[in-house]
Amino acid sequence: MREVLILLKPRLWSFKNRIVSRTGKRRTFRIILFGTIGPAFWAGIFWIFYRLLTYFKSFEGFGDILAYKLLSMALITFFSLLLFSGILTSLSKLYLSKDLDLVHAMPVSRSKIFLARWMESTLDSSWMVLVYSLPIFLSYGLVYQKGVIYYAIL
Amino acid sequence: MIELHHLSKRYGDLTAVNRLSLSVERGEVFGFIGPNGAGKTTTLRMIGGVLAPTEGSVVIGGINMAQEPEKAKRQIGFIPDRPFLYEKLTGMEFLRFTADLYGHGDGVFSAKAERVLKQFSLSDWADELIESYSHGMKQRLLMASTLLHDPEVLVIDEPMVGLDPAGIRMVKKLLRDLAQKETTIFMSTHTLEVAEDVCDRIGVIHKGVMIAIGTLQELKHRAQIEEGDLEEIFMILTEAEPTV
Repeated sequence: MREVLILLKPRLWSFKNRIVSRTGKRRTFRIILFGTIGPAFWAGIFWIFYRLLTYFKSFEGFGDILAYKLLSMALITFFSLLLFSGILTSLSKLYLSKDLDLVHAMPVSRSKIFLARWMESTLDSSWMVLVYSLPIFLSYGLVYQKGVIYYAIL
Repeated sequence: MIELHHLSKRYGDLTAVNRLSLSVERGEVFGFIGPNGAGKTTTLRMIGGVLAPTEGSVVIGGINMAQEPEKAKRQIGFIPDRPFLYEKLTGMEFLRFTADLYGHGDGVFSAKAERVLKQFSLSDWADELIESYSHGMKQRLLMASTLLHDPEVLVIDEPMVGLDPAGIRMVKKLLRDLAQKETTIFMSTHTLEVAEDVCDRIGVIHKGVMIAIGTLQELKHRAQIEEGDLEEIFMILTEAEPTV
């Protein structure tokens, strides 16, 4: 496991250096841009779904079916997104990365290189879907007053 | 120190390297020359453990690369022809990354890193991002990272590409010094003058087949010329089709 973590270090250090090295107006602009658009979009999704589910719930019996169908559609969409994104990211990480020769020349087994690449591609392909699916599941939980287990599974 | 036994690499119908066998002794500098597409890089990648051979075996210091790849690679420093460096890391971070993978990350790292950075005139750039380095500096950093774990075998593909005259002189001296310290060097080059200056023995590969091997004098004898440099020998030897 130690070697897998070492293989992930360049990625983490590069991320840190990207943040630290950006200076002046460009850095401020990016912080403002992603600091406002991202949360605004997240809040927008939450608001729309919260209103929609509250509206559905107001219909006795039929509303629950609608909410269930909506949740099913959302899950299928996320699953498809994760699947395609995962395939593309994995192919590029496993076969097209420019650092493959470098890491294969190092004294580390192929299985550990594969594991490190798999972890990277899993994170790369799914973080955005996870972050932006959260307001949907959160609004569902709030409207239908789900318990602690629901949020724990989430 | 390096033994190649009937080494072959095929890509579909194309045979890049065909039943190559040779042995390089400890402390020897072996030069590998040949025209473009002769199979030099493929051979070096197989020796470095980056590419698996279709047939045959690579043995480094008595360790079979196919059976114990990690143990064999631990003895090698491999510098490819198109080296990759993580542009968003600093020179020191890159050295730390390679040292960690070779298990030299603790205790001795700082002293070793400072030594190699000084040796390659990169001390002032240690904490700068690699993206700000020139091509020659990147090449030197890669060499520094390769020598950090004191490899017993150095495999270098085109060591002089992108280096200025001072850099070339430095690398030549470095190779000679390493050979004196019993490091085995296997290098491919198009710079025949370098091969002539540095190598103890030279192998000429053409269309995947080793067509000549020996010292400069032996190659001259093989090419049937009394005078002339390696370039002339190379032209004579590669003119004829190799016999498979």
